[in-house]
Order: sequence, then C-alpha cells, then structure tokens
Amino acid sequence: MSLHSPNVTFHERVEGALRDEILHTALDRATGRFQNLRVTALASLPDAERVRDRARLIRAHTLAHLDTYLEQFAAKVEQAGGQVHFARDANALNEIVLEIARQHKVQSVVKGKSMISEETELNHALQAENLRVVETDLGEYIIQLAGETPSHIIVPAVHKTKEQIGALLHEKISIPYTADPAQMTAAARATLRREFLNADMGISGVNFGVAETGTICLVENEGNGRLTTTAPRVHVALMGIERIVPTLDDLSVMLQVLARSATGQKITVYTNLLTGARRNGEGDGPNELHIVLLDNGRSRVLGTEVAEILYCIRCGACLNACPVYREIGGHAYGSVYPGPVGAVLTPALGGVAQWSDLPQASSLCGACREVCPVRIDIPRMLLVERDEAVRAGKMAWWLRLGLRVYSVTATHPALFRLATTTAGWGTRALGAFGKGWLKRLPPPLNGWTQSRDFPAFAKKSFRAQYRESRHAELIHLDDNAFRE
Amino acid sequence: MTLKSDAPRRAQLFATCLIETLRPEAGMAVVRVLEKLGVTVEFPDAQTCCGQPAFNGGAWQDARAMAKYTLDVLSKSKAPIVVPSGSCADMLVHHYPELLASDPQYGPLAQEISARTYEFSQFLVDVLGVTKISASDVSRLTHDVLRLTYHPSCHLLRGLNITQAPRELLAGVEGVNMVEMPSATECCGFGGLFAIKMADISSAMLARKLDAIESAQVETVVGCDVSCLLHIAGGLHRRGVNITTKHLAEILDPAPNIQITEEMYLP
Amino acid sequence: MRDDRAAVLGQIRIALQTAHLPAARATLPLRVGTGQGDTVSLTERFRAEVEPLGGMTYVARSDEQAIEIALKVLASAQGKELLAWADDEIPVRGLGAALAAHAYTRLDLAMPEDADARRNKLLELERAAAGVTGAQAGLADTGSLALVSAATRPRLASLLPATHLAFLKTSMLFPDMASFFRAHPDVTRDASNVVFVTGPSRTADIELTLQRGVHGPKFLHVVLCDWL
Repeated sequence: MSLHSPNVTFHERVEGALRDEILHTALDRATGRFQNLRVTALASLPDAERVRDRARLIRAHTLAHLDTYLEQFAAKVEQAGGQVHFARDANALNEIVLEIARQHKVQSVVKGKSMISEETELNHALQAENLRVVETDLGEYIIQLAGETPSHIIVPAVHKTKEQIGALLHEKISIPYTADPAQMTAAARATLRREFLNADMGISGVNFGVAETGTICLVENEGNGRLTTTAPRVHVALMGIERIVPTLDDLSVMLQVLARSATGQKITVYTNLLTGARRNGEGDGPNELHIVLLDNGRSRVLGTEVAEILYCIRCGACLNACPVYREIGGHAYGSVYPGPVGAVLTPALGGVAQWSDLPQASSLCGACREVCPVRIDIPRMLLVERDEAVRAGKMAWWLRLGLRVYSVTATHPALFRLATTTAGWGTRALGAFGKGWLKRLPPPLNGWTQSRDFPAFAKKSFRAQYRESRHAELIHLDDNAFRE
Repeated sequence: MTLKSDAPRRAQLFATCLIETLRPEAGMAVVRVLEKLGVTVEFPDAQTCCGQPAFNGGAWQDARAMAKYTLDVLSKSKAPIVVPSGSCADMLVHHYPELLASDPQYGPLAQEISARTYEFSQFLVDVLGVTKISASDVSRLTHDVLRLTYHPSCHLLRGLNITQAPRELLAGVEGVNMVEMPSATECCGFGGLFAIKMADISSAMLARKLDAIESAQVETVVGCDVSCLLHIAGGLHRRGVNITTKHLAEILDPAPNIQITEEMYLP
Repeated sequence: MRDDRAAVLGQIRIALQTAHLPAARATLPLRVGTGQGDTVSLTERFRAEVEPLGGMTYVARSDEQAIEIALKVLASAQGKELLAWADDEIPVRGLGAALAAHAYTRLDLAMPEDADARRNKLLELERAAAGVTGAQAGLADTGSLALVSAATRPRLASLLPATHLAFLKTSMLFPDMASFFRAHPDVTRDASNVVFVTGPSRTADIELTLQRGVHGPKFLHVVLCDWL
C-alpha cells in the first residue's frame, strides 16, 4: 500500500470496516491497552511534560535547519565508512536499492520494519527483479504471508485472530495447525532464522539519524532488527529526510518519549545505534552500510502550513487515542500512514485533491494532539487541508452552496432571524408527528437521522424569550415604583 | 457567596446559534445564573453565528466573513464576553486569531476579543471566583437527588483545557449525585458536518457514548455544549431511552421550573 | 549510482523560506544527562527495572561467586558450544579457564567477506547454546545494558543464542542514557554498533500476547560484579 489512491472509495472501505466484528474486537483491545500503558509509562518519567516540550523543540529546531543537519549527517556517515544516497521520490529509492542489490549479486533479502519501504512499495520492485524478500518482524511476516498490508503502525497484524494466524502458518510454512501464540512464535523463529542466515542483504527502517555522529538509531523488541542489520553482508537503511536529530543528547530525549508513547515501554528491548559499516577488525556485522534518504514530497511539505506533521516520530499514540481509528482501523484510510497522522500526512505527501476524504475523517476531538509526544497540532492541520480541499473544488456542491448561503445569512441579522424563524416553522411542521422530533431528514442531511432523531426548533427563540424577560423586568420595576 | 473583588459587573452574552434556535431555555438559564451573581447581562442583538460550521467544513472564506461580522458585533462593548459553549468559545478564543492572522484590521481585533472571551463555566469559576453555588444562592431543585453524569465536550476539554470548572460547579450544587460514566472524555461523534458527511463513523462513536451514558444509570447528562447535548439527545430519543440532557446552566439555574409565557408578563 | 542530493537539499532550502514550524528556536536548551546516584541505589534500580521484563539479575561479590553463577546459568542452556567475547572483555578473572575446565568450547566468530563462506559461518554459529559477554555500561533508569562492538566484542554473541549471559561492573552503572553519552561522547565514533539491551527479546504481535525469545535471546542473565 503506497500513497497511490486506491480504487475503492473511502466510504466503501469504512463500510467494510464497520461491519467487521473481528476487526472491532481487536482494535478495541489493542487501542485500549496501549492507551493505558502509555499513561502509566509517561507517569514513570520524571517531568514528563517538560520532556515532551523539549522533544517538540528538538523536532522543530531540526526541521528549521534541516539542510544543515542533513549535510552534517551525510558527511559523518561517510567519514565512518557508510554510504549515503538521496532519493527524490519512491521510484528513485527503489532504483537505488535495486542497484545496490545488483552490485552485490544479492538473491535474498530480509527486512526489518520500514514504513518507507511501504511508502515506495519496495517489495514489489525487488520481487519484480526476482529477489526473495522476507519480512522479519513477526507481525509484518504474518501480514506478508497473508498478502495483506499493516493495519496499525506498531502492531501490523492487530486485525487478525490467533486462529486465523494459526491457519495461515499451517498453510504457508507447513507447520501443524496451532492457535497457541507461543508455538506459533517458536515456529516463526525457526523459519525466519534460516532466512536471516541465508540472506545477502538486510533492509531496515530508521527511527532517528544523529547529525553530529552520523549514527542511525533503530528501535525494536524482537531482535529481528539486530539480525537484519548484523547477519547479511549488506545493510540498507531507509529513512525519511525529516528523521534527523542534531545530537546524541537529543536522541536520548526522543527515546524517552518514543517507546512510552508507542507501546508503554520505558525503552524498547533493543535500541540499536549503527555508525558506518563494520570497522577494521570487527568480527561481525555487514561489510557495507547504505543509507537511503527519501524525500517523496517531504521537502515540499516543509514549505507549507502543515510542515508540523514532519515532527512526527511514528509512535502511533494518535492512532490508539483516535475514536475514528478505533471504529475503522488502519486499512480504511487506504494509505500506508493511517489514523490522525496519516489523515494529515497522506494528503500532504500525495495531494489533497486525491485524498480529500482523509482530512474529513475526524470529529476534531483533539485526542490525537493530547497524546502526541511532540504535541503536533493535528486538528489544526486537518482544518488547513479541509480549506485547501475546498479551494481545490473538492467540496460537494450542495455543501459549498449551503455554507455560502449560511454565511451570507449570518452576516445580515435580519436575514438570519428570518431564516431561523422559517427553519423553525419547517422543523416544527415536520416534527409535529414525532412530538418535536424528526425521524427522517431529507438528503443530503439524512446521514444525521441514520442513528439519531433531530429536534424541532424551539417555538420561541432565545432572542424572543430574552426580550420578553427584559420587558417583564421593566413592568416589574414599574410595579414597584407604583407601590412606592 | 463572595465573588472576587475585581469580578466584572457586566458581561456580553454570545448565546450561539444553537441556543438561539434549539435550546433557548439553556440561554435563559445562563442569563438568570449570571444575574443572580450580580452580573448585568448585555445581549448584542445583532449576533448570529460564530462561523464554526464553515470553518470546520473548510469554507474558510465564508468563515472569515462570519468571524469579522461577529467581531464587529462584539467589539461595540468593552465588557467580557461569555459563551455558553466550549466549542464556540474555542472558535472565538483560538480560531479567530488564526483565521484572521494576516488581516491588518481584524487580526488585532480578533486578539483583543480572544483575550476577553470566556466559556460560561470558566467565567463563573476563573473570572467571578464562584466556588460553590449553595442553597443560599440558588433556589432548590425539585428533585430530592438528581443523578447526573457529566460529558466533558472535546473543545471545552482539549481546546480550552477546561477540566475542573464544570465539575466543581456541579459538585457544589446540593442534591446532585455525580456519577462518572466510562471513558467520559471520549468524543460523542458529533463534530459538526462530520455527523452528516461521515455519518457511519459518527453513528458508531455515538453508540459508544450512549452505551456509556446508559451504563451510568442517570436521569440526566450535563454538558457545556448544546451541540454535543443535542447529538446525544437525538441518539437517546432514537433509542427510546428516558435520559434528559441539560446544559450546566440549567442545573445551576435559580429558577429552573418557571416557564416564561407571554401571559405572565403582559399587562 | 543515482543520487538526488543536490536537488533534495535545494528544495529544502527553498521550502525553509516559507516553512511554518511552531516552536522552532535557533538554539536548543542546555544539555541533558545530569542524573545522579550512588552504586548501591543504581544497582537496586537496575535490578528493579529489568527483572519485571524477564531479565534475571545476580549480584556477585567476587570472581569466584561470579564464576559459580555463570556455571549454573550455562548448565541450564542446552549445549557446550559458546559464542563469547574475548576474556579481556569480561571483568571476571579466571572465567575462561573455568569454562574450559567444564568442557565449554568457544566458536570462532570472525566473519569471512565471501558470501558463501559467510553463510556457512553463520550456520555454524547457530549451534551455540549461549552467548557470554561483558557490558560497557548499564543504564539504571531503564535496566539496559550497553554493548559496544569491537574486534574482541562480537555482536552475534548477544544475539544468536537463546541464552545471553552478561557481566556488568556495578561501577559502570549510569543513571540514564544521557549520562552515559556524556561520559562516552565518542562511543559511536569508535564502534559501528552500540546496542542497548533491555530484557529478553519479546513480541506481542499475535493478539497482544506477550512472547519472549522471538528472534533474539529468550533468556537474559546479568551478573552484577559488585567488587569492581
């Protein structure tokens, strides 16, 4: 799944998701659990709110000097014996990775979790050249065997039950059927261990690149990231150009909030700091390290009102907090980046015109902003993109017209009173059968009455009641005066 | 009841279009509570709608027109502005300045109005210094005990960061039994046009909220946003559940049961 | 090979002229890493953090005690072949000799450049029952070990086998990661790999059920060498 607009409409995907009971149960359980764990984990961090402020500052500062830090980063990587490649877009990245694979006569590739590779559909490009590509994060592996795409940034296979996974492993890697997570995990370990040891190339993502040292940081719990970056001869690390921090100190700040926000851990089991290729004399590790930096629209986004979305450190906390995500899951968004962050980032990278539904998929409740470790104001940017979508002619004509009429009415008080009075008659007439409630509204407003009744307007508006009360007060005062 | 020494004696009421048309009784309750507390209420008659529906819909050009209009209406008086809606107050406090940031005339005016705009509960607690509305301040509720649950609406809670004021005020009312519903801070799914354009998702969110409310076994849901309350009320009515929805002011109201009719006042 | 460096950096510079970046500042605040603590409290904290994650900890007061613990731990692993750091890298005198005396052998970890030889080498190393390492530091606030790679400190020793046995001097405990970086500012310049290991390998990818030992070691034992 990339940033290409899929064939099925957003509303069709949403309908499918809302009908999926298994998905609902899984989403409820995962998002609920992660939300609780996150709260507990942040409570364990002294001065957590200030750490978040600082993390936000680091992201903002880095992006404001992104050219300088990228140059410093690249120079340091090269000093340490690594190679750096910049890719303008998805095709360029895939081409670079393929070229490295050709140079090293690579036949099989193991992959750690990488959102960038999803964004560029790298697996397709590699497989098209007859390379064997195996995802090694357990969740990603399950998804790959099923021929699906991740539904959650942190738990890619959250939408599958253990019975479904058991059947899948039985079918695809020929182990006896079991629904026991321990046995399934052990079987996957054994199968994937052979893949690791046979692979020529390891492809990983990157959580942060440290400019002052040329270090890439990769966090993970399973050890597949370590194996991917240690066992094969060549390691290719894929990162977005925005994933830089200036110093190791700054890295330590980001790491204090990343795992806590993502999985509720204080730190992941493995926090890998990789600097250049294997040094002279080091016994193991890859012979070569290539870091491929992907732009793919990021530098353009940097110059816009939604540049703040580039602060994102991909923890997934906003997904877990989002009441919309909880109802529809990741697939419905149709993009590699789901949830609130994806609703902003996908249109920002892929074009608001193509993705105009995503910024609408929010009640603007602000739960995402509240949990974001770097306090990204996601609702603000959803609104900016809605404005952009309207200007691009992406709003339904009836709504566009309705809002224009409403705006003209609301800036002319006499007209406004006339309109509300008329609407009052209308709703009361329609609501007369339902004792003041309308059971059905006509299209295009019928969405409302799908699940709720609509109240008829009050017989006497607030304005009228208020005026009468003032009138009554005056009479009251007159009365008193008379008595005196 | 002693108020802050510097508590303002006048306030402008920005009633909001939903109170104007759908819940005038909530607006009247706001007026009565403020007056009971010694605040003279000004009601700028030309007021209409803050423009939030257009702003949230992305029709910013229309929203700007409504924002400018409202700023003109509200800037005629120097009195602080009280808005009995977290969402509309958030619009005035946060979004007007953003929306008009590059406007040399209205940008500064938006900032000025933003600085003296308060949501109703915030005005009571933070500006007036009300800590408890006791029997001496309000006439009694007709119930012996009113079981209610409080729904903290999103823009009040996460937009304006008003967490405690409504709860403090409710806790101070004698005869109120506050029951916490599960996941109270979760959105009810209203979101303005979202409820119509994304009706499926909105309905699913509402269903959760209604389940939570029903599980609290209360008579009344109280909130500070008529918009969310109407959404919830519409859902409860569709389910046939007999739980009422009330604006905070209606619970604090000194005369909750007086129906104002023309006959009462005409000579 | 294709490289869009100039184009991308150029585009970034243009974008920065109009970028809207709330909270951006010209300079960042003062450095971090001022956590403190004495060895006793750091040791307690380290143990309190890593034990709930499934990491086993032991405090040894002498070389002999450390060796005794090591032999017990290794007896629980199936097999006699080990992946180990060089003797000098492990702060317990006599450990190498004791392991040899109990018939433990060490696999040679040097990785050949050639693809097929490398593959065969990895398959050979896969047999190891346990990995034995030191640690350059411990981070008390998270219960993490810092393992810094070098010729004498291979990465695979703490990765391939199901059991990982690590020896950490308690004098090498730091309050947190930032204070470790402050004490070792060049750590990433001198080593291609620094890994912070916090408990045994884990996953919760199947119905959020916690499983240990998915790709990395299932068992992590840390011997805290208290006399050093």
